[in-house]
Amino acid sequence: MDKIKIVLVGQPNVGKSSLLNALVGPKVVISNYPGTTVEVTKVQKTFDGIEMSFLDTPGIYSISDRSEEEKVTEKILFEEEIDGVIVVSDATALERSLYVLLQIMEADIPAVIALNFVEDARSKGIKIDCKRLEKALGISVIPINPITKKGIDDLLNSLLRIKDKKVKFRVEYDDHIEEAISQISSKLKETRLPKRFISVRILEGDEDFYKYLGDEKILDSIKKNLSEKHPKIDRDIAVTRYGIASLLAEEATQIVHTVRGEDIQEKVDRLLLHRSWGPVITMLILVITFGVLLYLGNLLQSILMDLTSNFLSFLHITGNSMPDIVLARSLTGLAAGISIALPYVFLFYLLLGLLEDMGILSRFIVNAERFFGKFGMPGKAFIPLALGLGCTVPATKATRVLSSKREQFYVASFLSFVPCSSRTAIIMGVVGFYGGIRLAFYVFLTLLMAALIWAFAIKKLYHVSREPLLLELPPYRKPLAGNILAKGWFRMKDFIYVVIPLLMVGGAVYGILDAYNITHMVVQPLSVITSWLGLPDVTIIPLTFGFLQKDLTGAMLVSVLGSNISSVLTPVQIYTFGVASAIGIPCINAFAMLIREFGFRRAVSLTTVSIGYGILFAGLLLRIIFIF
Amino acid sequence: MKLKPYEEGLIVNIALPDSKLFERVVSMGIFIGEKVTVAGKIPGGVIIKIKNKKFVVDKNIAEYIRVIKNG
Repeated sequence: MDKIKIVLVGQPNVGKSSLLNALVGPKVVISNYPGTTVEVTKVQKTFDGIEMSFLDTPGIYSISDRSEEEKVTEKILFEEEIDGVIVVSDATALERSLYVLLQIMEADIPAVIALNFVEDARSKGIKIDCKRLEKALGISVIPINPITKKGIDDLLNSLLRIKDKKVKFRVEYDDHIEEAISQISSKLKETRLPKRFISVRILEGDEDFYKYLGDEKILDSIKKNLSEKHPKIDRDIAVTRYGIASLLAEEATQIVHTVRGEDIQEKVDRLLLHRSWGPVITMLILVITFGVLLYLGNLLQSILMDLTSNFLSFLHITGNSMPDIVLARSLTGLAAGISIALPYVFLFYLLLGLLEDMGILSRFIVNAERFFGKFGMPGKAFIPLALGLGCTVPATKATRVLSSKREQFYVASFLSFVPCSSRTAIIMGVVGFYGGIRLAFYVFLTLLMAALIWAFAIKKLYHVSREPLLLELPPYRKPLAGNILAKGWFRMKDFIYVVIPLLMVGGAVYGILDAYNITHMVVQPLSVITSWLGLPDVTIIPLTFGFLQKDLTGAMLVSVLGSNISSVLTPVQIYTFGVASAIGIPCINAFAMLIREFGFRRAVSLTTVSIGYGILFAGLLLRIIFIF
Repeated sequence: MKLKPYEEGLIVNIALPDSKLFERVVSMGIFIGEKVTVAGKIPGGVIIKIKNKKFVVDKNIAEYIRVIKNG
């Protein structure tokens, strides 16, 4: 069977994933592009006896090598074997889509335009003459609507012949630039990519293409010769390309009428982007959302835990023999896993997807920018950090929204101070229950303080360069249920395969160690920690083994100290225990996710440093408290 | 020059020293000759409208976008 490989390219929010859904249905496979935070979706479909595979790239405005998204798109387009590209275009701003198209056509890659938002454009008084554009560019221009599936078959049909299409249109630069292009072309090594294209990329300063130059010194001399006419040649290339894109768009666009006056979109923006109302509404919606998620999570957990214990007693499993312990502990781990996966992964991503597709999320990000900017984080950081209130594990994964690995790691380090639901359960269930709600409140306050000091220290040590803020605010739209559900389901599936087995194993391992009394082995060697914290030696058991399953920390404490904790520990000790168990990468699952995202070395260093910092911090605070 | 909120201007120059950032700005549709309206301000940035698209632009980028007032 014949195979063709098609890449979807387009700017953010242009409807690439909706188109992909319309093309093949919601059977998406999302994977990370190797070594990056960028996700690439891959799907397959057989059409007219031909196996088509589609690759969805991240939303970009140009194929440069500035951001990680652009680098990935560049690699897919220019280094992988592909047969053609669908440039998903926005009928209300055609010139922008044509810019990327021209870059692709320069590489002699056959392309078709899928023109989205045609109805939108018409309501704004904009009409696109597809025939005229087709003639000018020599490629198919197909109006589509992913919701009504209009144009989808036409698009698939045009893809059948895409392999044989020759690229006819060419961007002509001014004489000096053209001369430089031919000078460089003559010095290039043979490759499958067109020499003209490589020369343009080299002149634009794309270092990935320097390898095709035999001798990099040639470039310097060419640039020097040009410096009088074109002191910034890369800029002149971009301007020429955009100018041609504009011209092409203008010729094909007909303004039927202009819309005047403020519409509903403007009114919503006036409120959501208001200086004070914007952040207030953002906070309010986030707090309500998390209130609901935490409530649902707790409810689900107690229901599942009851079910588990009923089930175990129904089977007459009392927990004395080894298989019983393993079974009981793993089932508890399973229950805990499900009560994390459903609310904090599935529901969270449903809500996030809804906010994103409606265009609200980008406004929230702008509002969050004010607060997070102070910590050297972009506004987007609120997504993983908010999710961290539910569970650190999916939150670690959610740091992928950030644009570089470095930024991602920086934000992930702050998850040490965002109490996940299990840590909140320790603070409320141990500190709040035995020491009073005020003491629990102090623990939360301490976490905030520890985070501020961490931010201050790390800003000095770990230089995080911030990209300047440059973000398009998409129009508000009606969301598509299918899209959002597919995304939520995919995240949950991924979570189930990794985290739930770990939770089950972690619980079982603790059960076995406990049954053989092995947990006590750590008490003596680690007494230096407990004495630094001013805690009884045995409390090291919940502090260390809590790492296997954080939910068990409270129960472990009771099992080593007896249920009358408030008579064994002083309020200060309860507080210290709370702080020491709340700061740091909380558990083996979060640690595993860190390994997956950042590799073993970085995961180990972040986990040890953050836990060490927590212990150091708690001990120091203790000494400060005693001074007063 | 500086535009006040809801004032309309015309972009006459984009003098960003970083060429790749310049390409990003241009490819987003922020181009010389476009009419621009300031739709609001946030700390550290400005919200602008060009054609029917809205952008949040960092102060550090916006200061390189030269505009003249329309009419």
